[in-house]
Amino acid sequence: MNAYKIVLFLYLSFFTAFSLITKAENVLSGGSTTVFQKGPNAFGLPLANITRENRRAHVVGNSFFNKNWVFAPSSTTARDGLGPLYHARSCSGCHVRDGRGAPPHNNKSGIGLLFRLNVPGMPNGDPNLGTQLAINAAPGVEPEGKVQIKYEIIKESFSNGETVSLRRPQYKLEANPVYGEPHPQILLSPRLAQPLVGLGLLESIDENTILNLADPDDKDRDGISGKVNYALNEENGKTELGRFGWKANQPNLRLQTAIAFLRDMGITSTIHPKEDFSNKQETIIKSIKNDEGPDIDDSKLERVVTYLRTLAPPAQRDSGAKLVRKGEEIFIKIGCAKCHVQTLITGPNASIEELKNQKVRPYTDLLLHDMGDALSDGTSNSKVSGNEWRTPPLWGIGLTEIVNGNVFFLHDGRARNLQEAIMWHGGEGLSSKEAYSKLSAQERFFVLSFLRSL
Amino acid sequence: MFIVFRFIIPSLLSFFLVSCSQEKNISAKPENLDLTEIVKTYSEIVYASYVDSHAAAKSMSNSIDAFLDSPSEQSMVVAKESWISARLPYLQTEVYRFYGGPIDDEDGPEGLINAWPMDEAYVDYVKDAPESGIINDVKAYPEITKDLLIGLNEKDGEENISCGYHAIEFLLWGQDFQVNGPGERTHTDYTTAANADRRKEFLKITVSLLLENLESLVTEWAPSKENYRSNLLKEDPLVAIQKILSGMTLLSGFELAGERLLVAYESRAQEDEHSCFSDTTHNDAIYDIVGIINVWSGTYKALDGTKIKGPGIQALASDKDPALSSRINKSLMSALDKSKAIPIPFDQAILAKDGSAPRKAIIDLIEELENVADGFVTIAKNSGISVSKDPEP
Repeated sequence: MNAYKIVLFLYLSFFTAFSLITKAENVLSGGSTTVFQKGPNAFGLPLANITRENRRAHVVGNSFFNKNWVFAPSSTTARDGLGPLYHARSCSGCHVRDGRGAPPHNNKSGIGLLFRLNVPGMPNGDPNLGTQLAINAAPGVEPEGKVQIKYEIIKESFSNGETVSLRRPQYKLEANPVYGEPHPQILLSPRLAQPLVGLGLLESIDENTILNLADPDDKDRDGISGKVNYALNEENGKTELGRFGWKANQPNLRLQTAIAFLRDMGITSTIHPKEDFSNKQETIIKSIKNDEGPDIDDSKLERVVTYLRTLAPPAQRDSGAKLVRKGEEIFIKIGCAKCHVQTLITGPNASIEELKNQKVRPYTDLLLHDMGDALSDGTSNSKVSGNEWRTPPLWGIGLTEIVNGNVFFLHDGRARNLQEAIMWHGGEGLSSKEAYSKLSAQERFFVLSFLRSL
Repeated sequence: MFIVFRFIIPSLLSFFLVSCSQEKNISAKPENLDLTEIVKTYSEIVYASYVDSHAAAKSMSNSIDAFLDSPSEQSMVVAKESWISARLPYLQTEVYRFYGGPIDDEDGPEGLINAWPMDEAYVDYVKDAPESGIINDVKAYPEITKDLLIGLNEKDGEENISCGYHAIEFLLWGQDFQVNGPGERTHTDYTTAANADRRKEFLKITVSLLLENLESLVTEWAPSKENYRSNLLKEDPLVAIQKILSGMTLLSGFELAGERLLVAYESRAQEDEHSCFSDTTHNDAIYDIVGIINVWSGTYKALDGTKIKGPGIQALASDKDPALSSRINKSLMSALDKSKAIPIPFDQAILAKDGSAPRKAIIDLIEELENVADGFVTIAKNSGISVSKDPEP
């Protein structure tokens, strides 16, 4: 009897300890920065371990992230300088509740989707319209135009005969003639506003950690290459490892934030002191404001950067549930985790103490992958091809609907749910997509349940 | 043997888990302190302070009616004074926000009562835009009605505010361009100015709407009725205390220290000031803190002089950890002192140089309010409940 008790005790303590360990590791998507709320504000929370000083910066940055900017000159002096050409009035206009944007749907405007403009052989976008389409403008200035979106429905089949319909977007630019005809070879590159959780942790991952994941020549012959985008740091002129944006074009959050302020809102900064006009626009738009100094000063820009740096990733939910665990096994087995890398460790040199040496589960390698022709934006100018996109992180993806009230995935929001997003994977992702389509309906449900737990 | 294990282990495990969690709950409830009494005292205070807020708003409404009946410099001064007085009891009720109670549950009236910051040009003319605002847009809004103002409040942007204390404040004071004083709207805006009648109508309606909304809060907290209060008193008192502490934590830290003081301190911009037209932002800080102290100490002094006294959150804190309780009490008293030391007007204090006395006074208050919020989080933890420093909408 005694021996029985001892065995039972050992079994129990072992079992408990083991389940606690696995549970804790799974749940803590951002190490000790992880937050546990799962309501509509789940993406807007500061790091769980944030210091008082950084919390203050977070609060102030949040205000400049959320509130609308106004045209200059104005009596609301802290937030003037919007436009004259712009896409949105505030960061939160597109990154609603720090979450994901949406293309037009149900008579909603779809401001969360914008368009970069590319012309083969021309590094600065369209000669008349520049690098990004501005759908709005200050009084007295004309907007650049808008894009009509239509979707063609196509069918894909699973091995068991079930089908899924996918939407293939078709874009038509209606340019404002005021700036002259757009170039005949103009290419539209749609970009959906991405969720912002855990950005500081991604910024804190050591360059070597990312380089170790890269395999540009696919030396291990697993069909997955993974390429670094060595991008220009526009502040110091050096070429650095790109991490942020759909094409990994920006090496750090300060640069990503400054370029978004400039292109999306027409707000200049010390990094980008001049408006993002084409040469033609320079002459047409006699700037209605006297452009002395940057619209956002460096200290406010830094507050917004700190805000973004300190947005915490939400914990995984239901990680112990059987269907979630099964789904994760299949996710790994069919190769998803080769790009959507589960576990990374942040470096010891992170910008702030809270982000250092954290074991995180972002589900990204921050590398560029060929995603196939169907997802290509057709560009060929930069070192990044039209087919290549940076692996988007998946943490928090299961909370998208609760936070944003809608779900649209991929760089252009064509996917209306997680399964459609999987089924669009081509190129390096093709074998995983094919493996997914060979799963049984129940196994597919496990995978989707796992993704929804993130 | 194995079969036995499979049965025994889960049931044993669940037995352990159940007994653990029960034990935790029991240990969280102190033996000599009746938590229900804390919730009862709280409910009494909430009710009395909403009754006072409504009464003070009613007397403001009378003064504004008198002003609108015969607009003059003198009647306008009386109307403004009545607004300042009406704010004092209401500010003390702000500590009942942030837990989805009657003030800010899904259809709660908070946004119609105290929304800010306000884009003035949404309501009326502003400098350099003499025709802006709902009041001057006869074409789009031929008739100003209650439903119109409710529908337009926070439409297409959270700064598009057409209702509540701050809309009334703007209609009485106007934009503040004065260094040492508040806005200088003149009574002729209600006599000879363009759209004076529409301005009158707008002000009248938003005042009556405020009264209605305050009355609905009184109803929800009135004793001996089937309402929010009766339901709260039926709940596990620890659940109610979690709500009470959430309101206290989020008002002192997130809202007052963060959104209202820190953002304005850092931006140095009047647009981030809470009561920017009347230059009474110092009152907002002082009476928010008085409200927190009411709930903390379980006391309230009503406008008619009657006093409520019962066990407050302080009693719970002292029961758990007397040293912590006295530290928080000290912090609260110090925050109150520091709020009274904010230089007036606030919009000039934020403009001073870093390290100057006015700016130091503000940052000291922020620091103290953060201490207070941290203290409340610790009390919650000690009581086996959890409150967050960030609001969940």
